[in-house]
This record gives sequence, structure tokens and C-alpha cells, in this order.
Amino acid sequence: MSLIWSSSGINGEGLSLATLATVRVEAEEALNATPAGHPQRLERLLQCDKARDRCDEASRQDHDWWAQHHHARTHAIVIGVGKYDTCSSQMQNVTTSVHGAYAFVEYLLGDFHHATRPLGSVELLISSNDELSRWKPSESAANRLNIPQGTAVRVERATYRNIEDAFNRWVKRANDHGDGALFYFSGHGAASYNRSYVIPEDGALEPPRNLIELETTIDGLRNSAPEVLCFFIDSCREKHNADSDVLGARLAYAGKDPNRNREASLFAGSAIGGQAYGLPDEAPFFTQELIACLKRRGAGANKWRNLWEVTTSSLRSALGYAGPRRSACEDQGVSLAFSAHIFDSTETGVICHFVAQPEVFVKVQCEPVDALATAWLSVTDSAGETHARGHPQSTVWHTLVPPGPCTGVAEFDAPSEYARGEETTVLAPPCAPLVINLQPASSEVAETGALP
Amino acid sequence: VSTKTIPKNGTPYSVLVDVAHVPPELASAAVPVELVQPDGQVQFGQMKLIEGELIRLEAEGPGSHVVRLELPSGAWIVTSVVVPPTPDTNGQYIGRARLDFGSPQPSFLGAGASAASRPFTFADDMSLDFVAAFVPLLDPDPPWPISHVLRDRRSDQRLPVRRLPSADLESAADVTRWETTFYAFRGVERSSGPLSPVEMLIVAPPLRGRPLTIRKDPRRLNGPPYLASTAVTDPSAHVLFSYLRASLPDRVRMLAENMPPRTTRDLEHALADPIAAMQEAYALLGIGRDRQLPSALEFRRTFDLLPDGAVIAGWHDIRAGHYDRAVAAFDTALARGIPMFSEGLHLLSRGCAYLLGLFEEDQAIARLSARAYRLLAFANLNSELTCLGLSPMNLSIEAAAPPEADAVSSGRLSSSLEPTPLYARDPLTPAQGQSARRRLVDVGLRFVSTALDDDERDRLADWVASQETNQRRRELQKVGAGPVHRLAVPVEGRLGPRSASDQSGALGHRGVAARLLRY
Repeated sequence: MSLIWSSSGINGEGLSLATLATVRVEAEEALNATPAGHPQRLERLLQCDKARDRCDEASRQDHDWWAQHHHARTHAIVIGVGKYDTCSSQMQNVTTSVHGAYAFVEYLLGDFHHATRPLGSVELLISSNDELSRWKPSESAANRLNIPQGTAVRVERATYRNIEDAFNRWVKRANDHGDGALFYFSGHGAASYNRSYVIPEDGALEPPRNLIELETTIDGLRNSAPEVLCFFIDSCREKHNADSDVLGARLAYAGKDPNRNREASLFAGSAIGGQAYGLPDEAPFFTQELIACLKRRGAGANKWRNLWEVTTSSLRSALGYAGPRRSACEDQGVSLAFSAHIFDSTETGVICHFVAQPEVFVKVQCEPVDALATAWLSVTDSAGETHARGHPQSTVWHTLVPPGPCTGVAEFDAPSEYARGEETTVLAPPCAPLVINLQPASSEVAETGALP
Repeated sequence: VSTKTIPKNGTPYSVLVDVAHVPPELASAAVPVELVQPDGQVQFGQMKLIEGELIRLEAEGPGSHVVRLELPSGAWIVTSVVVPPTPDTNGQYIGRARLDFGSPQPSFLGAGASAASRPFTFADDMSLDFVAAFVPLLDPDPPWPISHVLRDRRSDQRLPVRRLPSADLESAADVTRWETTFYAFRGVERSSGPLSPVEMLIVAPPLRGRPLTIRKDPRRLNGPPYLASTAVTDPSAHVLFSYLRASLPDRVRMLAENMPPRTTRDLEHALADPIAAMQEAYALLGIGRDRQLPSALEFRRTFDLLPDGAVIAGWHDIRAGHYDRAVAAFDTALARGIPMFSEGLHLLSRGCAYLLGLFEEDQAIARLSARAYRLLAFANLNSELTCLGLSPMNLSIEAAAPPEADAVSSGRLSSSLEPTPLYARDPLTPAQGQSARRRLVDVGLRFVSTALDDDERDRLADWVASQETNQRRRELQKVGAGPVHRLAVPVEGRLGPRSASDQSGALGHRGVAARLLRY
């Protein structure tokens, strides 16, 4: 069972959904570890059957509840694949993806907010080694899941079949126009001839097996209900020119009704043909930046009442700045190129809201640009706080500043070809340029370094 | 000087904005403009980029404001303005701002700082003089079967297959019929690094005197590493289309708000400039405003010869739930050739795949979808005009790099960065190029087997026998007998309607026909 939380309030004989899922996974593992003929085999078989029955019953009740109650909600499915069937697929195991999935679930349970369609349900599928597959939620997430803090949560593995089942439940649950639907995947991916794929635990590229094709899946949801549909894909999408035209399968098939108005977008941690990155034992860079944008950095320019709106367009703009900024921060020699593709935009898609003061990405540069190599750049925000670049670099500087008035300064070690430059502007989310126009230093300053 | 007011709250504070140094590609185009208030709140307006025309944006109060607009390229044009706290002699509180397109602005997503120092362009402007950049292979006339077909099987449209002087570009157009034109380029790129063979096909509008621009694509994801575009004919439509391609649908929506619905009369008028008509239609379709367009039937009838018109009509039908009509529209689109815009090619493939999901058992749709996908597979979707790669570089040239030693021992791919396998994407070495070229010959042989008639096949067989080894002869004997997998190898000129008995997917309709290879 992968449903760990639902606003339907359904539970299984007093046990929370997360607990039911954990009991079931552990019962199944215990049964698998018990050889046939073992004295405890029968007992474990019965325990396993009971756990499955309780999960199935809770799942059925939840399904019925959503079929009868029509409240606009945001439903999420989160998939992290860190362990692959390496014997048959030659896919390398990864650790970042599982951390990414947990981080995204933590965000959903703890920080996600939408004024008119709050969180409705969360499905979680994880494939990982034993230690990492036991997720210990933070206090706020544990409270939301209605489990004691410190309790480990176990969920179904992210095999193709399990993902397909969870996906279908997710689509059925988001059965109201006005619903939001978020799909998060972290793991291995690939691209072939302008199409992208994600790879479940039992998937493989050589030969292609159990791959999930994203573009046709998103198009397959054209006449399903959600008003806002977002796919967040944190995986490499390196080019894989296989012998076959079509490597994978779609998860959704459209019905024959006329298409719905909707906003459908795909945000990815890599461009087609590119790679995604992360540090070991942390969430991948894209996931970290995505969550930061959903929390504070991806607001659109306008507020709705007193809430900042994160729309698909503003998120796309913010991620466009977040990639270069993170590349510079990590200083690992990698260039992060996040990508966004809007499939349909017949509605303005608001993904979430937040109340906190947003942060604005600012791209600071000098004119002429050659001066960047020697310029000490700093930005002073409306609160008087100064953000300084560590040292001069020849590339533009991406930084984060609160909205409102802001002054950028470029200073130079004497002697210098350029005089100190200053530029004032007003910043609005999600991002803004700041160009500091420079004048040549007077000859006296350039030669002696002394101010006149 | 005329002044237009965009009313907001009726405050006494306002900013008058005008523009300067507007490039011709943008002249008179409507664009969304933003007024950033001192507290960071934004007020949106819309203005036409006409020098000397002022628009008034109403401000919430006095203080420092910023007026800015984001261009489809991601570049910003920004200027600061102060709204005075005291009234002028007329009792108004007016700040004046000028958006100057002549001043350098930072590129939005451009990685390099140097991009900002260049004058304004719609995109990274690594202009490539293809006459200089493409030189013939060392063998001036390599007997590639594909070029053999290109050279010998001309249609009523001219098909330049060797180095193409710019004069030919202008004269190759046929303005009497609105059919797209194919340009095939073959040569070696020498702009950087080792020589790289390049062979590609560009679908272009047949407009006399409209130059085709080919630029290097630094962001290539798939297909050939070049971007093709044609001159801007209608700045407003081009801006609308460019915002959509830049994944900024909110901007398109803002502009579309003030657009009147298009009528059949508009369509007839648009015949004078189908490029702009297609761009506008793609943009409106992308934001679900296709109701602002005339009906699919009218659209299809008006742009009968353009694949793009049929693609737009097909999506019109899909959105309305008229799936049988959509199938017919996409069938028509493929019969007309290849969509002029890569957006159309993308929509064509997506539309066919969508219909196949609805009618899984329908073999006709399956064939349609496969043909559309074969075209898409070799397209560079960054390019505005459809640009298909025929180069050996696109034929699965990849080499798995060995994982690092510590990745093997640790079970990860890298000690610090994850993941994954690498595929070589560097330009081909001469040896790789030779190998790839040989593979292309193999592909070409299969293509020719389905594209040529018996006499031509015999001629080719003679050529192979005279030129190649016994292995090549064996290859030729296998032609047509192997499994059918993938790859579109395009152009063949053929006159006359498509034959119903032709099972190889000919796309002919009076003009140039593209034939898909079932390889």
C-alpha cells in the first residue's frame, strides 16, 4: 500500500494509513523471509493476509469517499527509486533519489498550502536498501500522518506495477475539476528521440523494459479532471537511441470526452540529453531548489488576497534562475540546467500559496561585462541588509533578495580601470535583472589607487 | 505623440512610458509591460512597441518604480522611474520612463555573461554563414544513395543538395502556391574542432526574397545542432508565438485578452502571410483560445496546402472531441508533407499518439502515428522551422564511457556526484565519421530499396557492385528483407497524387514528397 495520508480521514480499525502501510510491508517481508515448512510460516501467512485485508479495505473506503465527496484538493504521488534490479538491468543504484522523495513528502505534509485546494492525499513509493527504506518523518510530518514521532514508515516498492496502480488511484481521486495533481519522481531516467522516460525499480534500458513514457502519459490525462497537473521529474534524461521507436508505456489513456481546460506542465532537473545532479545522501539539487521555490522563491508577481501565488509560469521563471545560482554555489564544475515544458495552458495554474516574505532571484552583472572579473559585487536590500559576492568572478552573479527597493554596487581594488558603480532598482518576484553601469576610473585613480 | 491610458485604480499617480531603438523584428508588436511598485507589487499592462507613442500606467503612489518587459528570448528591458510626491503645474503626479532597446540587457537564461554585451536579438545570435561553414566532404561528390536520390529525382520544386549559394535560397521559392519547400544541406562543419559531417533537411515557407537563417544551436537536445528561422513577417504574431515557445503562456494569455476573434475574412486576408497566421494560431491553440480562431473546417480549407494548417485543424478537433475529424486532419497534414514549424511537428506527433491511445486497434492511426514520430525523432525542437537531422551524427553514435573506478567499488557512479552513464556527444573524429558514414550508406540502401523503382534499384546495384566489397553486395541482397524499425530518411521528389497502393508511406502531393523509410 502506498497511500500514506488522505484528508478523507479513513483509517483501518484506528490505525493510520501510514501505519497500515508499514504493517503490511513488514508482514510481507517477514513472510518472504520465512521458508516453506518453517513452524512460523502459517502464522506469518495469516498476519500477512490480515495486513493486506486491512489495507485493501482502507483503500476501498478511501476510494468510495472521494467518489462521493467533491472538494477541490491537491493530490500527490511521490516516487523515489534508489535501488534497481542490478542483476538484470545494469542500472546503478542511487541514494539521492530516495532522499529527494522523502524531502518532497516532508514538504507536502508540512509546508504545502493552497487556499482553495489544500492537500488531499499522498501516495508514496520507495525502492531502496533496507536502512533507507525506513523513513522517519519529522515531527510535523509524523503528526500529520498520525503516528508517534520516531516511528519508521514503510511503503510499497516502486515497481512498474505498483506505480501504475498508485497512479490510477491518484487519477481517480483527483476527479473534480478544480483539483490539483502533483507527480514527483526521482531516480533514473532517459530520453530517446524527443521523448522522456523514467525508470522504475524493475525497469531497464538494455533491453528496454518497464519504462514509463512521460509525454504520452501527460497527454493521456487530457480529459481527466485536474485543473492543474504538474510532473516534477528529478532524473537524468540522457539520450538513449535504442533500436526501437517506442521504449516505454504510457500510464494514462484519455477517454473520448472533449478535452478539459487545464494547465499541464513538466518540470525536470535536466534537459533532454542532460544529466541531473546531487550530493550523496542528500536530496538532489533540483528537488532542493524545487521545494525552495514552492516555499518562498517561486512566487508570481501578484498576490491573491494576502497570499503569494506560485504559478507554473512563475515556477518556470524561478527555476531558470535557480539552476545557475545553485551551480555557482556548489562550485562542483557542473552546470545545472533545469527545464520546464508547458503542455497545455488553458488555465492559469496556481500550484500553491505561501504567506512568508518571498525571495527574489536577482541576476547581477556589470556593463561592460568584462568588469565582472574584477568587481566586488554586493546588493543591499530594502531592510538595509547587504549580500556580498565572495570574490570577483567573470560570470554573472545570481543571488536572493527580498522584494522592494534594492541597490547593487560594484567596487574594484585599486588601481582599476573602472570607477565604483551603483544601481538602484525595485525588485518583484520571482526574478529580476540588475545591471550596474560602470564608468572608467579617472586617470589619477587608475594610476595611483588614490581617491581624488 | 499619442497617449494611451491603461486604467487601473484611478489614482492621480502615473507613469508615462515610451520606447526607443525598437528593432524591426519587434516594431509595432504588442507586448506585456510591468510596473513594479516600490513595495515590489507588480501592475501589468500592454503596449505596442511604436516609437513616439506613450502609454500611461497608473501607479499606486509616489516613489521609485521600475518599468520592465520580458522579451520572448528571456531578455529584459528595464528602466527606473520616480513618481513625484508633488503635483506638476497641471496638478498631475507623473513619472516618465523610456524603455530603450538599444541598451544592453542581461539575457535571462543565457549562461554566459558575454551574451549580454551583444545587441538585442531574439535568441543567441551565433549567426552562421552556412556557405562558409559548410564545405564539401573531401570526396566532392560521395556516392551516397540519399544524395543520389536527392540529386536525380527533382520535382517541380528545386532541391539544392550541395553547397547552397544564398542566391539559390531566394530563387528556390515558389510564391505561386503555398506549399512548403525543402532545403537539404550536406557538408562538413568546420566551425570548431574536427570536421563533422552534417546533413539536414529544413522545411521552409516558399517566400521569395525571405532569407533562411541558420544558426548554431548551443542547446541542442535532439536532431541537428542548428536552428533555422525565417524573417519576421508580422511582429505581433511572432512575439505571441515566441512567448509560447519560451514556455511563457501567461504572457500569451495577457496579449490574447485584447485580441478580437478571428473571422473567415481574417483567414482569407491571412493568405497573404500564412507564416503569421500559423504563428498566431499555434499561440492561441497553446493557451486554449482556439475558439478565437475560425472553425477547424475553415482553417483546413483555407490553408489546404500547408501541413501546419491541417495540424492546427486537427488539434482544434481534438479539443472539441471530434476525433474522427482529427484523424483525417492529421492524415491530410502528413499527405501535405512536413509541417513548416517544429511546433507543428511536435503537435502532429503528440496528436497522433493521443489518437492512438483512444483507438489502439486502429491500424491506420498506428501507421499515422509511426510516421509522425519518425519525423519527430530526428527534429531539433529548439528550431523555429522544422529542422531534421540526416547526418550520421544522429544515427545512434554513442559510446558508453566507463564508470569511474570509485563508482564501481562504491556502487555509485561518482564519489561526489550522481549519476550516470555518459554518452559521447563530442564531434565525431574522422574515424568515427567514416564509420558513421558507412552506416548511413547502409541505411540509405534500405531507403532506396523502398523508394526507387526497379530500374533505379538496378542502377544502384551496379554502382554498389562497382564500388564496394562483397560485404556491400550482401548488404544489398538483404535489402527489404530485414526487420522494420525506425528512421525517417526524407526527401524524394515525385509528382502526382499519393498512390493508395504505396505502402512505404509516400507523402506526395503535387510538390515535393517525403518518403518515410521503414528501416
